[in-house]
Amino acid sequence: MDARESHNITLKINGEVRQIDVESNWTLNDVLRNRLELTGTKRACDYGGCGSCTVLMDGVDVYSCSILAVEAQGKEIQTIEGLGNSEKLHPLQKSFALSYAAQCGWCTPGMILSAKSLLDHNPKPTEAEVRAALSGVLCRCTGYTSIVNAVLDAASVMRGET
Amino acid sequence: MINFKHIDAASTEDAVAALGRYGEGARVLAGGQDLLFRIKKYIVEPECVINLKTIPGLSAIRSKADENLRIGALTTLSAIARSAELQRNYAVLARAAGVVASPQIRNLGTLGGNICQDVWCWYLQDGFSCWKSGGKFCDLAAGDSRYYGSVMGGHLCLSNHPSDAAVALAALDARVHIVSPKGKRVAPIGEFLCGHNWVGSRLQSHTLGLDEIVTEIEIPLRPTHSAYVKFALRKSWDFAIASVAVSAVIRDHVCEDLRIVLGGVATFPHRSQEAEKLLRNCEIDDASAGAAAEAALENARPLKMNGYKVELSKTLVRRALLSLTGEKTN
Amino acid sequence: MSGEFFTVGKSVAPVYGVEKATGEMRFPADLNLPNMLWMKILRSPHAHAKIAAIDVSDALKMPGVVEVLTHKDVPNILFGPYQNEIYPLDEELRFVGDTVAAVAAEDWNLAEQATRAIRVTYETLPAVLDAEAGATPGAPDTVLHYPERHEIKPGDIRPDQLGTFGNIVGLKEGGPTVVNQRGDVERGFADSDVVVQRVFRQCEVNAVSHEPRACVAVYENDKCTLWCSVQDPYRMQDSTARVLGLPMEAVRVVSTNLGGAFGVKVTGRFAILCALLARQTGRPVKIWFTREEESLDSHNRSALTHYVKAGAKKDGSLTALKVRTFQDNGYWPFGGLGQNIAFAISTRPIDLYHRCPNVEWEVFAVRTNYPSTGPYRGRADAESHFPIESVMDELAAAIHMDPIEFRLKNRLNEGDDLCSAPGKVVSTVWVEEAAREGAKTIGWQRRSAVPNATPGPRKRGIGMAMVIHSCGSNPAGTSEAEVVVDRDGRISLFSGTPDQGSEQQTTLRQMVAEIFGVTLEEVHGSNADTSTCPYDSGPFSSRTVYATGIAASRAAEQAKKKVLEQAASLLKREARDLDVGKHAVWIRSEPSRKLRFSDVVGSAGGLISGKGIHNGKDDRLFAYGFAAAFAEVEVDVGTGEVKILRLVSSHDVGRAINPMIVEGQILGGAAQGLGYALTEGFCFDPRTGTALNQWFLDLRTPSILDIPDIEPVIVELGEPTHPFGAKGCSEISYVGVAPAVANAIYNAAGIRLTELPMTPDRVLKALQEAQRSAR
Repeated sequence: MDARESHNITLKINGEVRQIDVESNWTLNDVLRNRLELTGTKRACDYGGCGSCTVLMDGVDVYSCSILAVEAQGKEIQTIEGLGNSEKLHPLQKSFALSYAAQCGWCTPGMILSAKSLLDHNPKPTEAEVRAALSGVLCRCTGYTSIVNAVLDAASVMRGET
Repeated sequence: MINFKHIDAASTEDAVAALGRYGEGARVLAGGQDLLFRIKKYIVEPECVINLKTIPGLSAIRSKADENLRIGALTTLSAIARSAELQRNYAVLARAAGVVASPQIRNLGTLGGNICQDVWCWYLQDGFSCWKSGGKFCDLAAGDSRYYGSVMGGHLCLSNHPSDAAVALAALDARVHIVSPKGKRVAPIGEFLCGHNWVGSRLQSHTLGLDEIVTEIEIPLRPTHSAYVKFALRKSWDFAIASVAVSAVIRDHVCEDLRIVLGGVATFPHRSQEAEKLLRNCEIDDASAGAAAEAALENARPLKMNGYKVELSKTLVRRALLSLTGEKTN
Repeated sequence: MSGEFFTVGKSVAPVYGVEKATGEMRFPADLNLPNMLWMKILRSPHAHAKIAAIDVSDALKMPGVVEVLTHKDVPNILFGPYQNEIYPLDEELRFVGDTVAAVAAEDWNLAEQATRAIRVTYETLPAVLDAEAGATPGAPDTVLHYPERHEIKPGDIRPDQLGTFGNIVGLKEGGPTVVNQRGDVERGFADSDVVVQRVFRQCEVNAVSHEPRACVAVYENDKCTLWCSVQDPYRMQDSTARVLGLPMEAVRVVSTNLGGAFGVKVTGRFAILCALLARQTGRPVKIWFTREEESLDSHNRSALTHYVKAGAKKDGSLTALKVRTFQDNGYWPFGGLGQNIAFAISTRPIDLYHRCPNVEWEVFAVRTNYPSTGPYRGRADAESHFPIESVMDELAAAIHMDPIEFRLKNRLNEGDDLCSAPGKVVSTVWVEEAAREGAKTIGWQRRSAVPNATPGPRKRGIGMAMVIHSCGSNPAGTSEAEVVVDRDGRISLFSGTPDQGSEQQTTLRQMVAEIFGVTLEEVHGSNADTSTCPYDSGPFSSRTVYATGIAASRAAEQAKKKVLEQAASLLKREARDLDVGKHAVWIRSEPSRKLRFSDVVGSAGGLISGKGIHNGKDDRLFAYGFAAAFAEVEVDVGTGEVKILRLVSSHDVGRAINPMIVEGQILGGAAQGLGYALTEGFCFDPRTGTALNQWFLDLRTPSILDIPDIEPVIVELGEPTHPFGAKGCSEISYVGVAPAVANAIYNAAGIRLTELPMTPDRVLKALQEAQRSAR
């Protein structure tokens, strides 16, 4: 059995600089969930096929299961915990929480972060644009309509319209 | 996952030197949207993974009036899909890059990584015979070939080349720039992707040597019209069941130059010169598009379960060609 | 209808909404305890084999690998989610993916690497990899050694009760198959004006719950706690206690929230082995399934083949229905829930078409060397409605009758007895209303009476299907609930049922809130913790809003009664002179004479608690849900693509306690149903029994770009057996989609697809065959 290799990396997670020892074969998802207690980021497949491991890396939505932790060196990561919490909800979180856009909850962080990535550069998306932006996260429970509506509602709130 | 070493390459020289050192024990990691999954599934078990993302200067789209378009191998598929220049002048490529997998995969996946992808065949797993994993015959041939099996035959491995971008690049006569410890070379994409071939003990989907990496893709064609049509079961994630890339120079309705390439049906992007010949110096209309479609699939040799791809591909060829003229597709 | 209530009927925000939107909800996979070990399972590469030798020494030598369990190391005590029929580990392996050994190690990669260091010599055995073949005399035995029974509990099937029917799961008394019969089908066919015969095949499918199941086990001081993704925590508690030799009260199972379950997350080896490893190592142990494990070591919906013959008269009466079904039951030694599902398959659509006088439906539940099968969303209805609703359309076309009218002419009425629940009769039947509302919504009158009417390569058509589902009539479970009013006047509901995303806790608490005249936010609760919550059979068969709802309402009424009685003694009035609302009690004629709940409860010297039970077995009059699905499709004859233009799902729900949640459940079920109709299904290699399509993308569940905005229609005409008139609805929206789409495809392109999923290759093949026979 080959020797295990460790790397010390420094990265920013939800605005906080963290320095951690990671092994070569750990993914960013492993580190977030198993070492940093940030279990809001889920994992339904581990192969880039479901989207529930989505995080924002330097503002871009990516699958944390398909990034080696060591390659997150120097990156800025935002997880669902960094967006808001029950004390202070982000408008996207609020619109999901008050509607039924989250059923089992497993795709929710991925959906919300994908939506954030969209709204960051397109504050007034059409429904088609919302669907395209969220097409990297699967949902098994909702049939998607409530999710699309929650994103459009949040976008409207964020534009100050409601 | 298995344990492996991880190296950040500082330059292309650094990367190919490391490849030379480790030989078959090394794999390069670009976007990571393919290799990592194969490591997790024990399809490949590298001793060392070489990160190419730390090499500067490999992710630009360079377009100058009097030079061929050049795209760095580490340019992400998202950047290619988003590029206004490419959308305008190389729609086939922008579109193909834009329908690969899902947004998150496109955000990290690179052009080089995408065209060098190996197959996603169902028989590439424990318990089956696969040339790519030490077996001596291809279980796909007589097995469930409905999605991943070739209809154009193949050498040893009969599984389709999965890349959308490669089909588009083949329709643009792309040239692949390659670096090794010995220097540089350029391979036309039709030679770079020509079916499954042995490199050492690896049956690869491309012709890179063990110590070579792709640095850049150069595109010499300047089509006036181009399109990429992809057919898959789902509209996100899925590899093409069949796809068509067409690029043409059309002046006064006449097709002066044309490329027709099929994807999802062969072990490499399948260019049909027979079909192109039929349309050269002709107008594209229902009849000529139909004739070209027939010609493109004339030599099809489907496997047990993928014969439907022949009719399907003909429809896609017809529609892709007619879309160039803005005609209603049938 | 909602106007008369305060909270019920309102789309109030779900109880767990914030936790899910913030990622703060903790599932078992999210728990990381100090000193915790990671567990991984070694799985069989063979469909049927015996472990001839197993050597774990190399694995144990790896630094950081703490323990390995093989079949030699675990108690030979049977357990199981439905019957006690499997050991924690067995020397005999019965499907590709069966559990061979379990490793506990310091981290997740190490545990995985250790499984690959275990050396096993397998003696392969003949396997059955096709249900029909497996039912044929002379087929190999799928089970070589039936588990020895040390303790038979009431309801368990004993080996001597099993018929000598080879691999067909059957009972000696009943015969090898389940047969639902009435009248004389041959005479019925003789009386028919039209007869249709078809063979239908449905692929095995996985629920694809997004949360792969997980278990964290802690064993300390002879007590075991499991945080575990199961829908049946009390069964899990029982199984763990039996295998570990502990009294029930020493085992606690917590399953509060599941990331999707759909009927398939039940008591299993993964959790039992986790508990055994926790005991063995003295450390917390966690197992979290990979996606492949969740696909194959779950239970899937059976693959099925139906041979159908149906007849009708020109006047629209259904005269005879004869079906022979082969149901792939997977590897369960004693059949799991297979017989029950077989019974439901043969009876439920027959209940729907009660007026058909002659019926013979024979189901062979066949044991195979494939993953286990069992109930998955729409249990037995998803299995049976595809062939029946397809054939109903064909008969309607043959007699030139509108498909909706044909179905309604033959349907059941309120008070009819039920062959799917012997001894019970059906309560309200609003299927006609649901069908007509759905027809109106889709614009049924736009449908061409003649199929294949659209010119050009993109053909449009509309089709429908009518559906029945019970609210947990058979097997009828038991739900207990407790409502507590505490010293601060807080109202809490304790319920044993896990929440799998259906927000049942919201719906249940809304009912409790209504009874007390408070808002939803003012009702708290706890669920699915065996130490604090009363028993519930679990969220299966659409029974929660109905059965658990009845129990919760009874509990709330009893608690409210006690509050009133206590308040009456304080206010020196009769309880009937008092009103309750907003955490207070007052004299109706003198509202200023008021007591807060906290005063009332405080004076009672403790908590006030009410209990309620619903035992489904006891009820003769039982609620069934009905729905009608309408699909408008566009079939591209050049590619075989079936595009869903519109999907309307119209439901008889009795009353929507929370319309937003009801609609969400309808949409979600219908979306899953589209996957079943068009893209999902396992492709097994027939030589080895290995699932070929194991990559997640090859499971092909619909993405956001594949599903249109599905249109829910809710028909609320009440249900007297439920305190608020509600029926369950979460499964039934799934069931009608595949047949509605098949019928729409026929209307669009004149082709009858009889195999699920209806993929482009099958569409193109059917079009080619239609062209050939037209010539």
